[in-house]
Amino acid sequence: MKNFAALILGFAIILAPQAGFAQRTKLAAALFDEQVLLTSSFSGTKVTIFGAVEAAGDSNPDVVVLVRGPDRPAWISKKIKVLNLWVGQKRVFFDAAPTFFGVVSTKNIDEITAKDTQKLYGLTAASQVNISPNYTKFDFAEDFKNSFISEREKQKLYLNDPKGVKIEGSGLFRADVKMPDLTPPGLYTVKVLVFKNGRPVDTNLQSFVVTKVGMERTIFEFAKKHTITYGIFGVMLAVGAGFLSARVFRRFQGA
Amino acid sequence: MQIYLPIAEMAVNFWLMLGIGALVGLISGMFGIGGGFLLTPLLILFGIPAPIAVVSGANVSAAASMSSLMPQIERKTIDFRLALIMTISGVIGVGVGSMIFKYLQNIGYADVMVKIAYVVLLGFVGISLLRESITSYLNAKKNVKAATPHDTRPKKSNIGYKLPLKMRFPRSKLFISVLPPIVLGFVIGVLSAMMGVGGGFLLIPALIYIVNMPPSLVVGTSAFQVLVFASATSFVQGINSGGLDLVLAGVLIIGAVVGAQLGSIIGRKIKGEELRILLGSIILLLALVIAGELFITPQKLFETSSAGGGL
Repeated sequence: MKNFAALILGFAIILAPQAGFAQRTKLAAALFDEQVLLTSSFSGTKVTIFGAVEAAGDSNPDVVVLVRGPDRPAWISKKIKVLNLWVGQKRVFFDAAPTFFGVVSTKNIDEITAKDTQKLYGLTAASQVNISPNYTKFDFAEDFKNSFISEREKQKLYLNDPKGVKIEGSGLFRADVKMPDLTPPGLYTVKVLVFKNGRPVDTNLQSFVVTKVGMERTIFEFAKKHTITYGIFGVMLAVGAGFLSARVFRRFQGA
Repeated sequence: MQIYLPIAEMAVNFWLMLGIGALVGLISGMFGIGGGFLLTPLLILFGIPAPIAVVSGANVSAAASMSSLMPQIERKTIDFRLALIMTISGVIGVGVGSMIFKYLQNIGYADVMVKIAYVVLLGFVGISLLRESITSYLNAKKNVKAATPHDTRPKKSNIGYKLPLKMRFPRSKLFISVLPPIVLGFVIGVLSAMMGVGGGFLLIPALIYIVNMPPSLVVGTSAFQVLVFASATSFVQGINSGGLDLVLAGVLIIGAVVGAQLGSIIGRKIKGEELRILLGSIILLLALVIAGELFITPQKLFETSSAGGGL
């Protein structure tokens, strides 16, 4: 809730008449939640960003919100025919692809700004994913990258919603970004950009964490820290469950 | 009902996983095989990252085989001596198999070789199993009075009696050379290391036709070996890849152990040759599916690394 105090203060500053800065478009934004908890019932979530822009001049500013998950190495492979049989594969690696990348805006980003600007400011998934240097020489690398992006779009990990930011006449806006169950834990950055006449005029950077809690966290940390104990425990659990079920069934059958 | 998996870092449907576990357990309990050949592809199909599917699948196979082993222990339908010999040579086979696999990978033909070998082997085993079991099923129908317990033993192979180093296996009432079990255990170990699944469905025909074990002991003896192999895979691979998801395994295990109990009840009610007809059909089907994968253009050409799973 402390976000809200800051936000209200921000709004107050923005919305207060300031003659000296009348030509500058100003932005204030805050996240509704600063953390997302991965519990045993987690099946995706929604991140909400509130804010306000004070537009200088007549035309309405455009708001673009980028939510970017932690980077992880990634790859894509395509099955190919070897000796006329479907057994081979070609693979392209990405050293650090965002695990989640959501773009929401007040309208289609192609209408907001030029392609080059989109690329420079990283507004598209294509500008966030880079082919590993060893693979750029392959002619199929670029195709694979596009397929990688569309695969992640199918998983709702990369998304683009041109109606995701609702802005009112007063300059108050709200952005909702949906995140799927595949959302990995880590630090997420939220960048709010205000565009006017195709040029960025103000930005704001926020962050939140996605973190495992409770039993999920205990299991995960135990598995990482005590690998061998965890492995033994896993086998004991399996064998014990098998043993127990046989005992229970025997009793049922009255044998 | 969705349930979040802490290692795979994704949510799955609880009831679906329970159902998959039960199905695999049922097959495991009926035939004494691990069911990993079915479980791992099913998990991958539902979006579980492959390394997690392999390890968690092995863990579930261990539970299912333990569950189906228990009634067999009580009925004393296991030949522990034979099972131990084959398990030890099998473990050596796994070591050799993974070296062969690495060598083939370096040449670049690992996938082709393994898949073709798999199709040929499974096709051969499936067809011979079906031919034999259907013949003896028809004979048994025609000739009811001749069906003494001894006659249900399939056609004998003489290999075990001809070779040296004979050893007595009191439980199976066999006095045969130890070489065939050792070689078989080794070969199955090599194959399972190369193909990434346990060799239960190869073990059963081998025990019946080559070792000449009484069919009543085959399921229990095989289940014992599956238990050892699957536990070892779950442990070793789990440490190597960190892919054991105990929440996923736990849900699957609940289904699998119940399925395995039902499976072993069903398995006892079905006649030996009918059980072999079923197993032969499953093996042949598996061979056809893998052959299909080689020749038919895959629906999903692309495969990507998973976002979660820390892998």
